[in-house]
Amino acid sequence: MSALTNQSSPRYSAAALRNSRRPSLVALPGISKAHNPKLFIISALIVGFLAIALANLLMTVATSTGVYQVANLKATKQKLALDTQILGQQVTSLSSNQNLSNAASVLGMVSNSTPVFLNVTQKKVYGTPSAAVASNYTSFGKNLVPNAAMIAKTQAGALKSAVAAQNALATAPVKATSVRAQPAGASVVAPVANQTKANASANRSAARVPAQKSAVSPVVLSGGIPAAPSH
Amino acid sequence: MKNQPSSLQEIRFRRLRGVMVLVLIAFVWQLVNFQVVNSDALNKKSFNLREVVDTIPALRGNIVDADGNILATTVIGHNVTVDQTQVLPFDRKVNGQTQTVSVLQAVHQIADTLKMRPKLVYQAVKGTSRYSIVAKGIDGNTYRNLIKLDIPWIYYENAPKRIYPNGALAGNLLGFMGGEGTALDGLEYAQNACLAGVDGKETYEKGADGIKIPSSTQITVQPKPGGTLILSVKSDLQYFAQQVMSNAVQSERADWGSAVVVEAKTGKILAAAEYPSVDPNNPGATKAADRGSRVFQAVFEPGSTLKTITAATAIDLGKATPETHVLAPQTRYVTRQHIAISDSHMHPTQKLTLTGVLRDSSNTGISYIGERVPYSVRAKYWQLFGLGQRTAVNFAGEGSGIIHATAPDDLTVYTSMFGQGMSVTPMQTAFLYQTIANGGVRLSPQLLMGCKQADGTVTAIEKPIAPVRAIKASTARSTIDMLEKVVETGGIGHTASIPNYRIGGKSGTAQIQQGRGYGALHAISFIGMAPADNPRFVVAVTIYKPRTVSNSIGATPSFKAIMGQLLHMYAIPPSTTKSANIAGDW
Repeated sequence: MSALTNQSSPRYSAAALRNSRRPSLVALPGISKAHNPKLFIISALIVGFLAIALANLLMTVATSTGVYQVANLKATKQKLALDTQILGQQVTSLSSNQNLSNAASVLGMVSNSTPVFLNVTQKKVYGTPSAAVASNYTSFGKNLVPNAAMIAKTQAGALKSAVAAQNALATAPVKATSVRAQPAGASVVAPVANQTKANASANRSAARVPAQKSAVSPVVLSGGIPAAPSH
Repeated sequence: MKNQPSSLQEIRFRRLRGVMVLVLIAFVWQLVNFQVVNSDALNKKSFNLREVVDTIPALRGNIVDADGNILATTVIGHNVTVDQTQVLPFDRKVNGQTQTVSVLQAVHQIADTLKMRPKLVYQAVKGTSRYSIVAKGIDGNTYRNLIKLDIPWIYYENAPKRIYPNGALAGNLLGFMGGEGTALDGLEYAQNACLAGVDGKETYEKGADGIKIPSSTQITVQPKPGGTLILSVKSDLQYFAQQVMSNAVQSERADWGSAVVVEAKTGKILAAAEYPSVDPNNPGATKAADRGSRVFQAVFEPGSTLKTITAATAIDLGKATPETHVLAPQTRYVTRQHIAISDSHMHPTQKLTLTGVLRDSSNTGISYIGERVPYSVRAKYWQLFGLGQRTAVNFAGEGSGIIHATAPDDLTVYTSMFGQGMSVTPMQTAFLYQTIANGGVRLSPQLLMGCKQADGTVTAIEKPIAPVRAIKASTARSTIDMLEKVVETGGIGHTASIPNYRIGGKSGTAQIQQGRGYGALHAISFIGMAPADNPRFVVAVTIYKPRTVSNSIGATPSFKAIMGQLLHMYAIPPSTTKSANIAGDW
């Protein structure tokens, strides 16, 4: 500044004047928001804080919803486990020796104390085939072994009437033409099929009874000896 | 120009900073206080309010039969408890309408559901206790019905419940549990080490609303479930045998009856039936005396079934053969005191072979054979046959029976030949005949096949004795041949025969000691084996004190029924060979 004054002290030229004054008039660069680092940091912090708060809120909501969902599902699981347990106990009861024995007696089943064996390979019959007869020492008419855990029983009456109805149908006179028209094996199956229509009501009450099918199940042979001897 | 305001700001800043530092120091102090100084106490205080410790009950193991059928299992039952201080009338919504339910109404509803007397329920809910048990171990159905009542002051806790799905089937072996889950009798008691698990523990924190705080659960002790006890018993056969025995005992008005079924070549006990037998689901329904296992625990004088052993001993020592001739009078006077031993049926003096002696079960006849072997030698044979000692099953309260190594008196020298003056258990009698059926080698009874752990490993429980050779194989064969003749031609023996099969067996009608003498009632038995050409099964039936029959004709039908069922069950083909040709008379 002093050098300049010395040089141009005698007279002030317009240019010099202009030159000397201009710097003091130059406008400062405008302060733009975007370029203020402090403001940027503060706003970023605020936005960040809000974002975190929001995320926190959302996560809390999600977690607590999840907790209640878990609790609900656990309750459902417990209920289903209870159902499974009750049904399991019913199945166990129905399949207990005591219940099966009672059901078999109701159906008039007796153990044949003189079984007969067929040897298919030798084409031989062992023993004298005879009908099973109830004996005082092998058939007792009812279960004699107590069971306090039996919570479900085969409905004997319904079972009996269903079987009686089935037998009635099986022995009912069938039209000669229909017998001839059917193949030999069909006559065994037909009464069972008819029975479902004719005795729907009797069947419905006995729907829980699993023993019905055994009446028509075939005896399986293994190695010439019945795998499950017929009673 | 700038100095004044900046210094003012500075002062404010300094003050603010000072305050903040103070606050920070306070925070840090408090933090240190909480986290370090008082942390333990505070932690404890807060945790106790939120932390819940639960026992994870270890499930008791199952007891299963030879085929895995469940004989005993544990299910989750429920205890019903009540906080008596909260027992008040409450509102219940029924079809959208609110009804007030009085305490008495609620009590009656609970009683109906639990099938309890209302008075007992009332006693359980009345009072000031915060924890009172209304009912224990209710089943799933009852639990569900009780929840439906929606009573705010009753609570439930899970409680393991022991269930025996087949009731009294093998109940005499299984034993039973007490109300508090302690094993009281039978295998439940004796094999508790296998069956009982080890309870676990878990802790978790609870929110104010009672909801478990996620990820706070910590299992501090893992529960270890009990092992599965595997028996040799076949449950279908066991059931059949129990049906047979309960029918026989009831119709003959006997004290008790038992049937043991043994697999001759392995010693496996396929059935050990008796009547009366406890239903472990409800042990209280059975008299205390009938809750044990007579198959192992009852001791009685065997009677004539022991004649087979007397005969086998004489044959084994070369002192007799199945056709040795004997003159058997009605009565024979023995000992220096001339005490009479007589046959139970009237007959003139008979010319019998040893086989004929067994066929007619002649006491006088067997006395002429038995006296060929000194008492002490016969006593050694009884030991070889397993008498006078507990079996390797080591059943709780098992009897050993009594045999005297030397004769306590002169008469016992003779009476012991036909099974009086000594005592045995039903299990021991079965193994007398198992020894004969297995070519003279006595095996260890196998009832407990092992304890199966959760990881599938099976550990042995019984410590079986090494097989004992009691008699030569040839002696065993001769003995079986004689037993076959008993069933083929014997008056009582014949009632045990099964058409188309070769059966060998012997009856027994033993007197029972009463006071110093013998009473009027008997212990009747029949022990036999089939098929006699290569025996697979031994069945021993004992009926104690029957009142409608006095001899072993009351035991043969049960033997026949059970043996028939066995042959049926195992599909044993009918015999194609004939029994040995041995004369019974001369």
